[in-house]
Amino acid sequence: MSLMYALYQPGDSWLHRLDPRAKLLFAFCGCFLLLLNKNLWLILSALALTQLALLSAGIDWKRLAWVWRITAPTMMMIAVLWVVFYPTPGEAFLSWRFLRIGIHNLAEGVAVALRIGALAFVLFFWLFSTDQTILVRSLVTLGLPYTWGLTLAMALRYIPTMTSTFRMISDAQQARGLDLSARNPIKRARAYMPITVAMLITAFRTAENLSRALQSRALGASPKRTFLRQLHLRPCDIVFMAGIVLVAVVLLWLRFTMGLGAYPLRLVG
Amino acid sequence: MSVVSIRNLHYAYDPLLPGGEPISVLRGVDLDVEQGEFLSLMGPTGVGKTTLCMALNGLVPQATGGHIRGSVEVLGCDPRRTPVEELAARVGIVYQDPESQLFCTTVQDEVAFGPENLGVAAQEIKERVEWALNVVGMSSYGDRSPNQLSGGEKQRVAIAASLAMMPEVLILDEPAASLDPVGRFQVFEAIEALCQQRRVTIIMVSHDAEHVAQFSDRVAVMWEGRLARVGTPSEIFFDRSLRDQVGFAIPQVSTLAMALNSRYGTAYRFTRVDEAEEALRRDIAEQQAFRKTSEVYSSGTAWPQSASANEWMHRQDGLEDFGSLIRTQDLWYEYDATIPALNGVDLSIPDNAYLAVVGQNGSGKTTLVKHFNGLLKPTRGEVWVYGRSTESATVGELAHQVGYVFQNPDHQIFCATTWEEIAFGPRNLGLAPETVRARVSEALETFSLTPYAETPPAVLGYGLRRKVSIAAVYAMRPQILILDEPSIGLDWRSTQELMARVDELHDQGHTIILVTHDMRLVAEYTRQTLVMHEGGVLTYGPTEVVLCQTEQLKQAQIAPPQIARLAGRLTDLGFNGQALSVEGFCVAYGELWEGKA
Repeated sequence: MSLMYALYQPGDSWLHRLDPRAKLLFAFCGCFLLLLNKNLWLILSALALTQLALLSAGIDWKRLAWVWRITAPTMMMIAVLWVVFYPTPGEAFLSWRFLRIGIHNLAEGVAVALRIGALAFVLFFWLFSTDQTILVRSLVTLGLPYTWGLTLAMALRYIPTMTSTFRMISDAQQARGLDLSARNPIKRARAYMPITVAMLITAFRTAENLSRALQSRALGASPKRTFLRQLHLRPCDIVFMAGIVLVAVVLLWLRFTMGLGAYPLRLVG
Repeated sequence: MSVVSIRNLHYAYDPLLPGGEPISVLRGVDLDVEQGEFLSLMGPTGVGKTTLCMALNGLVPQATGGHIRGSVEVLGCDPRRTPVEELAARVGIVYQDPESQLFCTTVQDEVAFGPENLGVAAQEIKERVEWALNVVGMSSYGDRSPNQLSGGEKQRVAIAASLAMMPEVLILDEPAASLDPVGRFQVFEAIEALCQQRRVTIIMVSHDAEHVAQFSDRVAVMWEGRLARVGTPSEIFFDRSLRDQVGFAIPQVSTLAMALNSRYGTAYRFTRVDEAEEALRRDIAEQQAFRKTSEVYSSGTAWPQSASANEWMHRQDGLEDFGSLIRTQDLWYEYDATIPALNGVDLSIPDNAYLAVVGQNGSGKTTLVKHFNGLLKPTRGEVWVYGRSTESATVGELAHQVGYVFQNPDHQIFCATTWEEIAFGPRNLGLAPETVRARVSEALETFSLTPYAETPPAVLGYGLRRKVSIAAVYAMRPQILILDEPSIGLDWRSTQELMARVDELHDQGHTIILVTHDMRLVAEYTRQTLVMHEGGVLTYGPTEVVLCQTEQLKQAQIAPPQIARLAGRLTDLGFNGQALSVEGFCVAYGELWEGKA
């Protein structure tokens, strides 16, 4: 599991070879379009498309299952809340006090919930196939200060480390008789206090060591930092980016002229 | 020509708590290090070795604050005023913990990180990366993720990352302290390669006397914030008064030399196994030739046969016969569905055992012992503790009988005071407040922690934090005490003190289980040894028998302690399997000398 948290899966597929800036553009446009969209069919299509793309790039299906697993609780919560707080405007097949459930709000709730999954997959399209050094490199070429990009990369790098630290701390506290089996959420939260505090102390200590290591490796020594790995936009990257922009413009135009994606079940107005 | 020149250096950290006193660490250090020299720095934990190293690359005082006086000059620069990142190009440093100094996704990027920061051209970075990885023997690992490397490999990458910046001075702060024997071997092999190249001046902090003796031109011993003595390894290790005063580790063969000198009037001063072998072989052969005791040669080795341990293992089958405290039957454990971490372990640990569990990282040691306190439940098979299956017991219930001290103290420290930290376990056991108070007081006293009772344990030094974590489990009075790598992070004297406490517990009838890579600890303290390999038990038996099973130890990639290796090399002269400790070796030596063997 720890490797899963490392996000990046090494490989040499078309997706891995694609320039990170092109992938970033895809992620940016994809997120923007998804946020304007609440059509169930289009969101299902986006989900299918991103997953097919990831599978075709050799990304392990277990990683895709992991994305579903971590987003599932949020999706379920959103679907339920949507149905509860947005009564269906048309005919309801279940009506009780303020609750009105019909095909309209049900479809909309499911669509908005699945949109979370689709957003996650669009982002993981970028993160699963881009190693952190290249990721930082691409952000720097887009004008982000190097230290900001490095901070993001290190945050991603330390996710697996912190996950395994959490497990070890939990083991160490349980070995001293800490009982984590309480069902009551308040008692459970209190039981996790020793783990949380130890985790924070460890994280601060790691951060301090890390900052010393970074200084000792001359971070900031030269005003002009160089890079071992250079980024070059290939013709196919340019074509991909142009395609993304074109598709995004067309979809936007359809959204605002014909209402594409504005309705949960109908494609256009 | 001196590349490092320190005169009367004093340094104090800012107070830990508001209104407190500054913490004085360096109290008048004077040191000169010549170009190309290999200097080792030894001394107890908390004496200021790391602070001194950080004063050489400017982290002290630039990153740490505090008050500094005296003079430091490194390569003609004043590290107090030269920015750390600027000095980093000339003074490289490798820290103890590989995890917090590797932050890139590939080994190649990691090594390139420093030169990139220095603005070196891409082509030259490529050449430097190749060269540095080649020096540490990691050329084929460029595309690997540091996450996938072992501890030793990670530390070699950290060394390469420093080397790629082409430093003139390289500081190694306990580079192998947290590694298993193979990891240590790999790191010291890389250091040896560096020594052969002789491009850099090396300053190494280490408690590992064996390797200090092997590599160092000079050794500096720190005590109470200053250098107590600087000299050759032989001068330092044979300075008995210095050792009594400071309490630092010396090579096991040097201890042997001193014992032989005092017992038989010899004048040995060896610090390495090869030196010891050469001297002893020469003297004993001369004596034997003189006595014409050729039968000693023909008697061959008296090493116990591996069957002895196997027979011992088979004797463990009967639970009742042996009074087993812990028993496993066909124990399997899988973290995921790929390779089982344990594959059918059958084991019986008797009451009041003093057991060492050894093996490489990933051999299943920790997975096995985590079954004893219920942290892990078998995927298949069964584990009984006191005749009760752990399947139905919670970790909390088993904590009454089984105490587990984890390797990293920071994984358990969370309370506002040391007193509270130690009281946490006994309170979880539901003990009465007065019992808890009594237990905490005793634990504080036993581990010399009373002065720190009201101090937040998180701000204590590593050695003290380690003591707090052990005291916290000790206060729970478990019948079975499991210690994971008890000697890591502790200096020689602290280790001796800790093991003295552990010995007392064993004498009182407690069962002790040490999970360790420290084979000297195994040889000198434990009664039984269990060697794990690839998730199974490779061999299990009395320690003196297991340590003679050279083939099995080799298979498990475990190096026996120096004296065992020395005795192994001298079997043709008649040394036997009892010569695993200083005392045993002296007895064997005396018998050979007198022609009784």
